[in-house]
Amino acid sequence: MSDDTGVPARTLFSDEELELLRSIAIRRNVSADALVELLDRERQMEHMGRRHGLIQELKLSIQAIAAERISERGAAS
Amino acid sequence: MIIRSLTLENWGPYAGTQRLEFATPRDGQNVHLVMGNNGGGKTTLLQAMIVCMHGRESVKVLDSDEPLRRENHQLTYDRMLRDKLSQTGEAGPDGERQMALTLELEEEGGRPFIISRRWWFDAGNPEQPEESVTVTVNGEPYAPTSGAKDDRDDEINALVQARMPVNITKFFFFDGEKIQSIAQSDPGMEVVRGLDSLLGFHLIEQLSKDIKKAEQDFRGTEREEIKVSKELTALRADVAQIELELKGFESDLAEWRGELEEIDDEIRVLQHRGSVSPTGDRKSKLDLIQEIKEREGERARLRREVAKKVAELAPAFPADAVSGAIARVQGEQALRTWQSQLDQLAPEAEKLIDRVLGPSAPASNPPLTDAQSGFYRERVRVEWQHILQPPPEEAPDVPWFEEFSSDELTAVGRYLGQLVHRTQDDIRDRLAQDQELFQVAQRLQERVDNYEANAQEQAEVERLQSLHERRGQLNGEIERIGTEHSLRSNDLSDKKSELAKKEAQAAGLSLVEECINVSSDIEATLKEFRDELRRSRVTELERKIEEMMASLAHKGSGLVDDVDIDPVDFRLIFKNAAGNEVSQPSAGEKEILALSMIWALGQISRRDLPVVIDTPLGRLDQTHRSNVVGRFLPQAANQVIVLATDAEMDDGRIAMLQDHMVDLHHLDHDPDRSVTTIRSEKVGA
Repeated sequence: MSDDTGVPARTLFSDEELELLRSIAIRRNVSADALVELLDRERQMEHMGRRHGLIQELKLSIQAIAAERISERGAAS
Repeated sequence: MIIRSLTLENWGPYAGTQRLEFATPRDGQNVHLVMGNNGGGKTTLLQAMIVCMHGRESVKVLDSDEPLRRENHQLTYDRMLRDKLSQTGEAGPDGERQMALTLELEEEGGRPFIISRRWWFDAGNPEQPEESVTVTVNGEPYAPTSGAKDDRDDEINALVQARMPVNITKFFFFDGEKIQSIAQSDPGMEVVRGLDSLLGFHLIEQLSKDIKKAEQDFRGTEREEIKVSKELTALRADVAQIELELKGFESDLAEWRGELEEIDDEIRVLQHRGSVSPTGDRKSKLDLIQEIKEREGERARLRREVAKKVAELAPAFPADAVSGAIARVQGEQALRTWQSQLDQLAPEAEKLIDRVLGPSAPASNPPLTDAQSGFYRERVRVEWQHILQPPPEEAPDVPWFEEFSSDELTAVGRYLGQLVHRTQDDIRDRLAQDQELFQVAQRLQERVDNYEANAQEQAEVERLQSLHERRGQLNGEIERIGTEHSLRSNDLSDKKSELAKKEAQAAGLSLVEECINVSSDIEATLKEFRDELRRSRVTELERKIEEMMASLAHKGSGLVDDVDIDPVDFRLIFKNAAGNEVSQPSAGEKEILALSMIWALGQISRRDLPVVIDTPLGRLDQTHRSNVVGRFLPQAANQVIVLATDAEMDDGRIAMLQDHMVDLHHLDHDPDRSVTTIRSEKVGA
């Protein structure tokens, strides 16, 4: 079964709504693009009917964001 | 998403296998009209679509007015299936009957999504049919990963739900006569869940839950991090402790080895003084006298060797032999010198002979004969030799060192000189040893003479014994500590290896705290986004509902002018033009409200889902009917399937829909046989 089933999550939200998400994410120092990708992944998994491995994927994404934050703090200091 | 076809096998009045196929909606043309009389199978088609999609869960849609417990779902479902089994279909050889449905959907991008369900009704147990469900996604059969049948079916149902959640199906596949239930002031939890799903909130909720799970995993890891950190601290302490111990051992070993060296030096000195016997006791007088004798014996040997060396040297060079050799060498040298000079002068003698006796010499009178000439030539040569340089008297008749050059003779002389020199050194060494032995013997003799009065000697013996004892102790300690050092060094190596691994593990865990922070921030972001989204979408929903209501309802027709929706539980509040709450809208108003809500939900949800309406106009008056046909149906969705009677959709209303119709289908029902046949026709170009 191919992986590109279903509609990306971003199409469930209008441009204004995605902009709202982006502004909230920036304020909370979260990567907006990463968040949209996570929503896309949820939607994709929902469409594929399989959620196996999703938590592990989320953890990897979170780790990447965390590593970037630490790196930015290191560069700033 | 659109519906491409529905295939029915022995379902209700649809005997055998029949297929209802829908052409692709085009711009502006999105309505498929299915005409049938009452009891002709329209509602059965709607039910077929819902059952094919959701299986047992379809009872939530079909009997949604009654809350059912889960165990009742199966009973209700089996009963419904039994009722739907066409009795006109043929049974198998053992009385088994089969029924099947296939719904072909087309997703965005033209990807097919096909759901097929088949039921077997055993003749012996027709109350509980067996069911199988399969799904094909984009041409490939979906293979469930679960083992048990129920789990596999649940997996497939989840796949379908992702596209058409069961709790929103009633908003898109509905009976017009029951639609009012959507427009209730208290929509109920199922509707709320459906609306959440339709408006995309479920996705945000699901992501929030998954992030929460991830955060819990990280917190578990954090506990592990704390544990690893403690273990790291303990390991570092162990390493430091062992290193300190090893340092202590090394310090002790250095000290003991230093002491051992001093002891060995002192032992050497004391032993050299000769006070101690091999058994470690003070030597007796007899021992000392014996030692003197041994020294004297040694001295005698040395003196004999010296005499021998001198005797060996003397015969090698007897005086007369040396003189004779020198005379011979000198005589040989004189002979060689004379011969050399003769060789140089011989050509002059020949020149003289040639001048006197040669062809150019003045001739004698009478001339000389050949024999006379030869005689005088020879005499001149001999006399020339005697006149110029008589041979030396000391020249030997037979040359002795003829074959030796002067360099070779010099080398022989040098060797002889070295031999003499070495022999002299040997003699000197022996004489020096003899002198030393003499001194030792003298000291020993003194000790013999003063044996009784020598207290120092006794003290030295005791001291030596004490030193040996201490030496033994030190060696024992050194060996013991050496072993301990070796063992602890191995322990240190193991601990350092363990420490390195722990440090690597700790490095990997160091992100954990930040990951927990990121998880919390994402959850907070999603919560804020969801709350804002809910408010904005509900506001938009209200506006859209009002927009469609204004379009569908004729002016001044009813009480409800405005709808407010609670963003949390979707409770509807109906208001009149004065802004006062209306508690009970009329049935027609409810239907208009419901249609408006459905349309608004479709607009806001951004899900491109088809709408299937059974008997859409049943409870409406003529004006409302025309509004629904002219204004609602063409805008309801990208694909609208209308199941209607000819009473609802008369020629006038069909003409209103003409420009929007894709195809037209007729359900021809034979009441005598209770069989319906599908007949389709295309509409327009």
